[in-house]
Amino acid sequence: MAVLWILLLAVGLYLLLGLLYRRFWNKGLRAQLTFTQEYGVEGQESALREVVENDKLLPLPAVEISFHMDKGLQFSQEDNSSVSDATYRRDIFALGPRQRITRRLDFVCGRRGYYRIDEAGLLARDLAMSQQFLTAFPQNTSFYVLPRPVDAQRIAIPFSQLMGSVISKKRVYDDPLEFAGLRAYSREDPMKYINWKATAREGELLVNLHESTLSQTVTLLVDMEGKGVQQADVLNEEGVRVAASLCRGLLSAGIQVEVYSNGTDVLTGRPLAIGRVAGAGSDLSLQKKFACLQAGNGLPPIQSFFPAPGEGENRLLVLISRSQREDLCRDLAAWAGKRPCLHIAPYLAEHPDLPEPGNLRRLWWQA
Amino acid sequence: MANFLRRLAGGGNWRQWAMQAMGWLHLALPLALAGCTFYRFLHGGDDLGGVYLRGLLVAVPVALLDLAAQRIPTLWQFLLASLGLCGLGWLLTGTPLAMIPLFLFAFFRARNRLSETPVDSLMDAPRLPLVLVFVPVFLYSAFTQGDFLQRLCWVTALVYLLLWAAYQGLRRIEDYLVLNQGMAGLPARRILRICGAALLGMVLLAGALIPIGVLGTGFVPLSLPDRQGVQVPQPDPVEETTIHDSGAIPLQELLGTGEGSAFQIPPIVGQIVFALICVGLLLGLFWVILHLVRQFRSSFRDQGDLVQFLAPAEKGEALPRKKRRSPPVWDRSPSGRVRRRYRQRVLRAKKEPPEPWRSPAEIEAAAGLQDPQLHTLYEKARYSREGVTPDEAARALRTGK
Repeated sequence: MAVLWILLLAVGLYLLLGLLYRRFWNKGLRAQLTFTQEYGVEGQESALREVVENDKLLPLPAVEISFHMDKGLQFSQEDNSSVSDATYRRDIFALGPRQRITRRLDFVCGRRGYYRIDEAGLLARDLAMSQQFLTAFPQNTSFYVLPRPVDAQRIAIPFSQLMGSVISKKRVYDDPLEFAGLRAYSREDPMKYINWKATAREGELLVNLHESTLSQTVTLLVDMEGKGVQQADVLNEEGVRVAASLCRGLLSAGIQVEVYSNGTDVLTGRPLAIGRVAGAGSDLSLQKKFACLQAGNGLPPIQSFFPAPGEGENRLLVLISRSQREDLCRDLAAWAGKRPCLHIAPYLAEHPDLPEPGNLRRLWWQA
Repeated sequence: MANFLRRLAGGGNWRQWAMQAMGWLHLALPLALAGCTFYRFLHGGDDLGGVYLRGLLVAVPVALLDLAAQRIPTLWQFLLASLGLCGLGWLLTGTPLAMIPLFLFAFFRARNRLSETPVDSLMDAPRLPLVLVFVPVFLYSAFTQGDFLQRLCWVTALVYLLLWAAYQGLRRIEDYLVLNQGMAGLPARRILRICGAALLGMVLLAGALIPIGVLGTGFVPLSLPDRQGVQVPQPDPVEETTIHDSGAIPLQELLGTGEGSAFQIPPIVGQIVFALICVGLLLGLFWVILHLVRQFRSSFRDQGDLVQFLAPAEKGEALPRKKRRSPPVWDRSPSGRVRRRYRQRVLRAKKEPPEPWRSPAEIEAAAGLQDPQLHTLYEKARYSREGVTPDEAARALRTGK
């Protein structure tokens, strides 16, 4: 009889353990994924932090956290990642009672883009490793991989060309949003520039000084047509890098910039359109927008994004496109007949000699 | 030495070694019981302890055969070694019958060697259906009133079940670790600690209950009515003191502690040994629990992971203890008596305790109490440094009635 009791006790304990796990396995269990930084630049290193928490007395000997994301981020521990059309990552944790484990996953920002993790799957096993329990935790973490700046010496050429065109039509305006300092009031100053608080403090009239903004606006058009072909991908990426570097330089020089593209913004799902921005403070948001820019096939032609006739005569158009199609050249020449225009054409090995009629200038950029 | 043993066993970690050892033991257990059954069938008697223990020694040639099958390069060398190991089995168990299962084992190992795709056999690991092997032994013991054999049968079956459970647990852990061995940051050591501790605990707990259940007084052996044809030869009293033909020697004879022996171990020695073992086990258990608790309650780094102990949710900051306003019961001073009388009067008038922030005048107004003398005495007792005199206290007590 006692033997039967022993057997029953052993079986009962085993079943009780299974029951406890089925009932309480997910109590106090949390998993959170967070990028340690908000953004990084192509080629830089960053990290993803995984935090798993088991706030109960039942241990979880094997907890697998899995998530997937675009394969542009290259994790240093490749063994835990399987890469197909996306990176599928799986990591294993062993959680004792009331434990929190934090793991840092280093990665290299392999490709420009916007990376987001919306969900993390969790698979846990019981003490006997016989039962599996599945759940998913919603996540909200994202990471921008900004385009890598191109070589400063190389970008100086198109930049100086642009600046030459800009300065020839220079009209400086104060930018009321860019505060530069204070100075004593003179009779020519408009009253709206008087800083009354500073005046009261100092006992003499003081006016605000603002950073100047050139009235000239540079419009960048980035052609993102073509995806999936290696050459197109490389040239499009190079085009985005050139555009981002140019924007950075122009904003630092106090020039207003606007950017349009036929490529889609992954956040909005619509073609990228950034209205006029000015000031070096806008650089980061602009770079993030470039990170979200996506190439594609069958996009609307870039000509449809040319400014309409009569719209902003002071605008200087910069087209960044790898396309050497006749219709694009023709349309660009027609548009450039009226206004200054620069066409930056990335290429890989060699390029044809295309005409540069009117105000159009073409710069061949080897990727 | 460890490297030599590892090389001899063909590499592998301790878990694989343990599983291999369990595989050897799983063969030895039923063979030892079978040896006891045959011995009883042939010679009768219940002195089966020594036979059983010697039967367990069959695990040695089984293990060596297993290692030989892995390490000896040519087949003829392996067959030669098998012959020698079968002889070793005879030597260790004391019966040539032990060579039969060893021959079979060697045959299947050789066959597996020749096969292009070696297959797992029943001989490799404990299997649950093999528990059925113990049923005929149990029935035989029940029909022949073999109490000791029946106990041995239960012990062996339960130990075999434990062995099977431990093997399955270890197999699952090992399979999981092997499956994920290529993963970076796999906390293999911690998985082993958590699962291994649980497995060990359950096996030890169940293992500790076996002697209580089977060898204790609570065990009632099953005895079935004797049938014709099942005859158990009665032991020959002359042969008991000599070595049997089969070479088997009863345990009592081996130890020299049988009933006929002049030397008897005093019972106190057994009790002391038992107490020491119990104390040792308790200390070991305490140390393991302490170690585990310390480990789980600390924060540390393991393979780059930061492992932190989550303290139970801290309760909010404790509010300062409310200062006692009413006089304690044991305060029999005049002031205390006056204050108690005042409180009684207020409670009698309002039925609710007064709010602690109210002044005496407000309390009396709220309770509808009008007793200027008591009011004055209470204020003196409550707020003055010298308090009230006994006469004043007596007066206050009189007014309250």
